[in-house]
Amino acid sequence: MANRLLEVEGLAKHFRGGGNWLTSGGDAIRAVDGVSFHVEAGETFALVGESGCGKTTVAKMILLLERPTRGSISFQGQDVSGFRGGGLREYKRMVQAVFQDPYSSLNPRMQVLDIIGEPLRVHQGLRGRTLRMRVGELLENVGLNPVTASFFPHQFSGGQRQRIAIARALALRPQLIVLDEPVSGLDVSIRAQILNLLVDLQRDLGLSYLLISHDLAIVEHMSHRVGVMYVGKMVELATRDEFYGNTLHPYSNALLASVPKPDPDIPMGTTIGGEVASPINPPSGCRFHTRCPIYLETSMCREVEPDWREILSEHLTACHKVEPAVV
Amino acid sequence: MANTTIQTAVPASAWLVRVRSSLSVARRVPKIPTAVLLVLMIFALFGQWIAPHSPVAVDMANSFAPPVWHEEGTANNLLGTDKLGRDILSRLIRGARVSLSLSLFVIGLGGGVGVALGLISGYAGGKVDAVMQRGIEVILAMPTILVALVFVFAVGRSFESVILILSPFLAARFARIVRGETLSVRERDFVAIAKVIGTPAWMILLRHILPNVFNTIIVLATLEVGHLILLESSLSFLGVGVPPPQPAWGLMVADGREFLTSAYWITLFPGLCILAAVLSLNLFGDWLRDTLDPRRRQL
Repeated sequence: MANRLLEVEGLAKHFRGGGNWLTSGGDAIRAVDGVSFHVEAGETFALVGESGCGKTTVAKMILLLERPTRGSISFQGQDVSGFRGGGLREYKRMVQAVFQDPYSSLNPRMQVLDIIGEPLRVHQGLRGRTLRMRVGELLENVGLNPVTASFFPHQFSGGQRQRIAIARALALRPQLIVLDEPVSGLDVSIRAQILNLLVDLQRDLGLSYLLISHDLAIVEHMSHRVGVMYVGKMVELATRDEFYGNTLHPYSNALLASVPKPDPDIPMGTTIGGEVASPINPPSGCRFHTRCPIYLETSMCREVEPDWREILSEHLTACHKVEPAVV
Repeated sequence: MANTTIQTAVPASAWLVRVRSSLSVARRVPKIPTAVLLVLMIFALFGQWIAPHSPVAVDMANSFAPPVWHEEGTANNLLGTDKLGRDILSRLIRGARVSLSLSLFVIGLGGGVGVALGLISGYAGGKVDAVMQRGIEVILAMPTILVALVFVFAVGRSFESVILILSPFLAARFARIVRGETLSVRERDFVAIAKVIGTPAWMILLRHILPNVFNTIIVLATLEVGHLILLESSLSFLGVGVPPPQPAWGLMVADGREFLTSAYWITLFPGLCILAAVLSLNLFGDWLRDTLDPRRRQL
């Protein structure tokens, strides 16, 4: 409770289905349907799930790129949707983002100086020599030569581009950085470098990260707490050690089991059967019951939506089959 | 990637890099098109001192004089004369000013407004976009020539009225195409990041979107110059273009049309001028597009 930097409460985003003013709209796509979590100061909170489960939509709402249908986002105890003028500027200074694709997130027409310098220009009005100096420092922070400030994005490799994107996110000394699949677009050999850079920066600058990923190995390496999403809902939330040591929800179990182990003698993990349920018409009851390995034709799972309960201390899940150990 | 040398290379000063790159850019200027455009520009600017004769001096005794390489041709009228005995060469030189400045003004005015509208329409989306696009469709649906006829009869025939009536049509074309490009660029991640940073919308438009739709604008502008010169000739032919004693290439082509079989030179030379201008502009535009694109420019 002490240091809640970002708090998300019952967040939902429904996109209106196809159709225009001539045809009646289709069913709403419930991309995110009631998600609650918080990010503490200085920690990494990981949001995990298969593609299409709404992770990125949550990130976009936090970054004010999408407007929530329901629910609230508070930053340092203040409701984000109420920010105007100076408050909004301050929020945009303190919350930055690094996206998945380093080829799309850097403007190909801008020099690195202008890319990293953009937040400094907008918020601090830096120009000329001071801007050049500051950008040079930032490039060094992320392990690039300051001379590269005059280069264009196409002159860098994917990993170097991602470093530039990180330098840009650091420019305003933010408190929270939303990392949306920060290494998925990179070669495996580069990933560790970027992840270690992020960890070092967090330690040195006291940053908080909201890490969005589908890669459980990366999440184990980086995060302090983990939240698992399935079709727009949070199904499990726990500290990292709790999550990896004492998984409660069958979906989380299945996700963990499907991670391949780097040992040829261990057989490939089991995979979950079936397709991710559609957010347009999510299954009734527990959304996972169509694929759940421990689902036994009980009407409970099929008809009643499971409550979001704290099973153990700081370990929440939404499953009928899991009995609370502490009440 | 080719940039693995970046870290190991001797750190050249940024100044040196810039000088070297601008030199290599200058080397690759397309020579012939640039020369043609320079000559036309000189004609347009200093035509009155270059042209051997007055472009409007009528000399009926000397009408339909053929170019110098024909038997009856004289060095006095190198490219011959038209039906009123006016010197073709002089008219071409002086006509460069009318044709080029008309195109430039219309591209500048119509294109500028069109780009601005297209950017705003594409970026704002929603109701703003819908209203603007319906307006543009109305303009695009109107027959240019007919509207121009009515407008010029109402306002009077002049250089300025031709510019004023052609600009909205050009603006509509630019706005439509720039809007489409804007729609695709605004979905790119760097625009989302700029919003996260809190970059004001005008800055996103000018620094992120405009440079990324610039290719299209350059190509469109160079294509439209040719289109405009031809449009001007149609208007002149119908009697609502640039007023007659002023020489304009399109007007000259139109004038010579009835004598194509007997005096081809009245039509051929202004036609060649239009061809040279349009072709050179297109080639120059290609070069400009490549040069402005950092990916194609090599250090």
